[in-house]
Amino acid sequence: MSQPTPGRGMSVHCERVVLLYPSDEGEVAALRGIDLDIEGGEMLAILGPSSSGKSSLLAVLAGLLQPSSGRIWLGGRELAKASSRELSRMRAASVSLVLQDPSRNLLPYATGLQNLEFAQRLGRAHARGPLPDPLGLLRGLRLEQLAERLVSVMGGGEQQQLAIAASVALGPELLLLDEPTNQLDPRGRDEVLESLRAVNRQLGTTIVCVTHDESVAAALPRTVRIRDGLVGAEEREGQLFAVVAREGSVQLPEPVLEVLPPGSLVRVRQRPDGAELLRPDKAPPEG
Amino acid sequence: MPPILAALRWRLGATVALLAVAVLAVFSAAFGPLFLGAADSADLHATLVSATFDRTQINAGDVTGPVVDVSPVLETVRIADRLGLRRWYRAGVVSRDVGTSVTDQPALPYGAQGDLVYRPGVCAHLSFVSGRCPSRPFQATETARDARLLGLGLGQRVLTGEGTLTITGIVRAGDAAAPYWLGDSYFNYFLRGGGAPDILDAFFTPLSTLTGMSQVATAQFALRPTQVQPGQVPALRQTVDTFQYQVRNRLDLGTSTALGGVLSTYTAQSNQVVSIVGVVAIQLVLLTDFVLYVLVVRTAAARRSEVALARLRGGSLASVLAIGVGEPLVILVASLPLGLALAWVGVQLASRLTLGGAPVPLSLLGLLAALAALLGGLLAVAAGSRRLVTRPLVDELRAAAERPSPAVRAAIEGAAVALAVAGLVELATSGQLSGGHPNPVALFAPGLIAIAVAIVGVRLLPLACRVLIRRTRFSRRLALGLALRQVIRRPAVLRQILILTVAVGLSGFALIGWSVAGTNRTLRADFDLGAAKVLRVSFPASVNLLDAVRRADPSGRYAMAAMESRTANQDLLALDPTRLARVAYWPSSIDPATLRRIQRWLQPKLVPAMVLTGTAARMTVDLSPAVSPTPDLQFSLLDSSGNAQVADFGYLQPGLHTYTAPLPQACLGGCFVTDLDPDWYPGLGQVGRVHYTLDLSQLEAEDGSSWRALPGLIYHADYWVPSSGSTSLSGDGRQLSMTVTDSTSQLVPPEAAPAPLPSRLRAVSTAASQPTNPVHNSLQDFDGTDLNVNTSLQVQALPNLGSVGSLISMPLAIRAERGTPVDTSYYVWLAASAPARITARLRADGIRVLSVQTPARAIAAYEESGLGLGYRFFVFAAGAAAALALAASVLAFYLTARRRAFELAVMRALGVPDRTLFRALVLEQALVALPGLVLGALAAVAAALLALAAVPEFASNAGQPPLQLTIPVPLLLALLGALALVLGAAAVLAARLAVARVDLGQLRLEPR
Repeated sequence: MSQPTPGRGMSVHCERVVLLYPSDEGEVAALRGIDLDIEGGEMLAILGPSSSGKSSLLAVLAGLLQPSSGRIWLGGRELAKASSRELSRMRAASVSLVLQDPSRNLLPYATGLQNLEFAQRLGRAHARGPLPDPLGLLRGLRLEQLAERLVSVMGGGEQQQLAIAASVALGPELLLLDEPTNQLDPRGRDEVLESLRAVNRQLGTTIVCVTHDESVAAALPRTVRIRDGLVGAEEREGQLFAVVAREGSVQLPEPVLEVLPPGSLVRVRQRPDGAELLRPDKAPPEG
Repeated sequence: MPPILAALRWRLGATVALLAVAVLAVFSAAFGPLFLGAADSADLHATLVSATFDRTQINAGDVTGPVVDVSPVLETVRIADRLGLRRWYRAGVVSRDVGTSVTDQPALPYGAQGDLVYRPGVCAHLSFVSGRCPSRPFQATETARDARLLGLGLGQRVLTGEGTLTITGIVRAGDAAAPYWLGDSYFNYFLRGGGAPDILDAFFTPLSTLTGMSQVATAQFALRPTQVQPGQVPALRQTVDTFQYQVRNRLDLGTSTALGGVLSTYTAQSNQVVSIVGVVAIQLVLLTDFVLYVLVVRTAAARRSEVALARLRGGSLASVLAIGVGEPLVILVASLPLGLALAWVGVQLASRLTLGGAPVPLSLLGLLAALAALLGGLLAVAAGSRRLVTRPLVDELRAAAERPSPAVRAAIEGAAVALAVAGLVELATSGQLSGGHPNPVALFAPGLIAIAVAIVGVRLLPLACRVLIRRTRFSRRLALGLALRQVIRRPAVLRQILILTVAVGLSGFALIGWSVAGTNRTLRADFDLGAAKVLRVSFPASVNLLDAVRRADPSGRYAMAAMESRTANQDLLALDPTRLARVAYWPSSIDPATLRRIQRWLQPKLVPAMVLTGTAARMTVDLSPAVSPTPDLQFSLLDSSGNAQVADFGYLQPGLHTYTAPLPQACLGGCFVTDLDPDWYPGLGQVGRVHYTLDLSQLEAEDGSSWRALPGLIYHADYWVPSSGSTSLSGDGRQLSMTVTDSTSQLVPPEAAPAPLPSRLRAVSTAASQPTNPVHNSLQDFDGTDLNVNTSLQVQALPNLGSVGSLISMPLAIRAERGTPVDTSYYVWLAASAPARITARLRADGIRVLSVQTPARAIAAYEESGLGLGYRFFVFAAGAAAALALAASVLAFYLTARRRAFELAVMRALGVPDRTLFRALVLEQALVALPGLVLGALAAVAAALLALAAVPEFASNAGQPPLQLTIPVPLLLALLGALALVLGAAAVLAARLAVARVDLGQLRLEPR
């Protein structure tokens, strides 16, 4: 990679982000108060089942959707205060979004290299700094073999890798990916993950990857689990954590729910290093 | 390769298709104005040429008669040069002419008239038999026939009133129609009735011969038709007017030209063509706009993901627009020069084929029309640009389908229907469609009707589909069910119906019109000519044409003799009425009863002639009461030589007396009584009122030594026709009573004079030629004398004569001749089925066929007239509209099939067989195409019935048979079949392609 600029990762701070959207049955809450902090240069997965709100969160982070309430800071800049033009400039300079369908991230009639050049030529040069050399970028990601090939003849994995490269070609500080491995076989998936790691490692770009694939999430250092529009749990370095929401609520991990099904009454025992949740019949009398 | 070119190449099929449609649109739109320019030029040229040079040239000369000083006439040439007349006219030619008489020649005991003529450069235009061009004073040429008559050869002298001429050259009589002579007739050799000639051909002599002589000088300016361009017509008019004004006012000379009338004819035609082309071009341009709008909007869907990608990457507005609308813009821009070039080549070709190679001007109007045709595409581009800017990016990413607001759609459609209906009502109420006022705006009718019908059809089709879909819900007809659902789900495809309906409506109307025009052109050309074939003939004096034709065709079914005289005052046609019905062309659209009436009218049952033969006539007359002064009873007679004679019985006395009138000597061989005239004039101080009765009886003629009674028929009242209502008649076979009450109506002619010469012929006149008093009318006969005719039978038009003229019986007309016919042409009319042997027999009888006329020339003239060209353009435009609609439909089929990729993959995954998918796609296209074809055909028929008669090409003019409007059902069905075949093939191909490309891998992707 010709112009690596490590440490450019953008931090993300979400505070009680709510997103409502209209439907035939009335308003539906896609996000119900997301609190999330991502450090600059961090690499994390947002994991959740279908309709859990993870793609909506990604759209909000990319500035494509305005949250109904709550606040979002990207690199210290509050999104709500940005105009649509500023948001557009932001996407041109510092935030890139990779869509789920690899073919939609690329021009099918162009070669790999042309796609990177196309991404860089889209304008708003004044909004960003110097851009990486496209061919150097491809080499850095070990994708130089795609440089002269037409997108239309590439496989799904190659397309997705190229899509990531094209997104990175803009020199973003935050890379958002929506199910980047969804349509890929394990080999393709691994290649994409390797590309993400390379980007993160070499450019220091903050990477947020939405997925429903546990293996993808497991491959990334941090996983935020989202369910019903709320952040429920987090895994860091292989350890699972429940997240205490701003109002004090906690989404219990799946294994715990088997013990404490929804609707259970629990006794909370405070301990010096935290708290314990106990079934009433199991809990020893206090005092 | 620049990305935009790569994108165009990537979507090569759609690119080529859109480019083809756009090129076709530009071609169609630009063709009209370019064609108009060429047609206008051709029309002007044809009008000027067909007007002949004698109408377009300008003559200037002294109106007072021969003069010695001709300098004013020479000055006209300088004025013409100064005004710039030479831009369009040849240099003025001043000819000088001295009328002289040739005397003292044995062959000319009474002398003869001839002209002594100087004309610049004449020798170059004379064909010398011998000798040379005269160069000295009083040298001259003479024509060979003059030389033969006069018996004077080269070097011999001719004594004229102006001096003695020496013949230096013998020339052939020239063709007076040649352009050099500019209509002047110098070859007037004329033999009166086979006797001595009294007019000789001109003697051409040098200018020096005429010096000092009193002469007629004429300056002639010949127009060069090819030098006149349509745009120069106003300047030409003004220059000619100025020239005439200056010549009249400054030189006191007279000028004449018929150019103004000729140019007015052209201008009127040109205006009509401009109107037709304008009306048609507007409709075509609007259709192309709509087609391009629809197609550009539909092809935009293919670029949606690229646009979304550009916006997602924060692309600048310019770059997003370049991706979103750059491709159609490039295609539209590229189509402009291509379409224009194609139109120019097309018009060049059309010009060679139909306009005699008229130059094709590159007009600004053509460019504007081409740009206007692209307007729809550009509007779609603009709308697409706006959408790119305003549409939320999330919607773009989700590829959410855009659905127009039902209210907006209903409002647009309602407004379109209301406009169409209002337009039709306006056309109908203003009389444009009634045929009373032929107007090119009637050509709006098919478009308006098609739009109204199409919109109603577009609204009704989904309802019909909903009804049908209920029936397929539980049936096994899955393909039909799928197709019906698609039509209901995607109302945008219904726009295709609108395009097809309008295009089929226009092309169907054009086809009907073309067929009707063809029929009517033939019908009118046949009627104009009179028969399927007309031979102009000449024959020796010994041949009787009437008898010769009857001998050649004893059946009376194939040939008919005719003679015709066309003068400034009247057009007179005489033909053999016994063959009129079988040989002459009489369209069935004209009342057949009229033809039978014409035949009966032209062949009256003539009563026996009243002939007085001998030296005297006597008659018993009873006058009562006594009147003063007494009437003088006379018979007007006509002798066998055709000279008028009188038998005067003298002044009548009251009471019963016998009177005798001496008959002229010419009546020894018999004189026909042409009228009976009790000549009475009021005396001094009397008013012109009188009342008396004459009882006439015992009319006898003295033949030799005895008196012979005339037939009792003359004592019947119906034998005579009173000259006015103031004279009443009664008779019992022995005595005729005549009561006269008005001094001015004394003439009482018989119904028919003695055979073979009727004193008063019956003629059929057209309404436009009808005199004030048809009973007592006179026509100039073929020999130039007045002929007493009764033209009570009146028709709107007659074969060969059109709206102006009179028709008489040829056998009777020949009998009525008193001298040699002049300015008369003889013809043999032949029926379409006439066998060749008839012409052979005529030739064998000594009849020479000078020329053969068929309606083909008239048909060609109709086709090449301004109106014909205008309608031809309409047919082209309709064809272009149909081609455009076909191309648009084919492209729409292709795009629709491509867009079905995801749905088809789903269907296949659900286990729906490919065959069913294929059928569903084809049925879907059929559900769109068939209503378009049917509705278009209905609109075409309705428009034809409603408006065709009002289109100028079809409007019936005076003297033409009425329009025959028959819908050519087989042709219309053939058109629909051809269109259906192309659409069907396109639908099958598109469906096959779509099904072949179905890939279950699509299911991993988001639906597009």
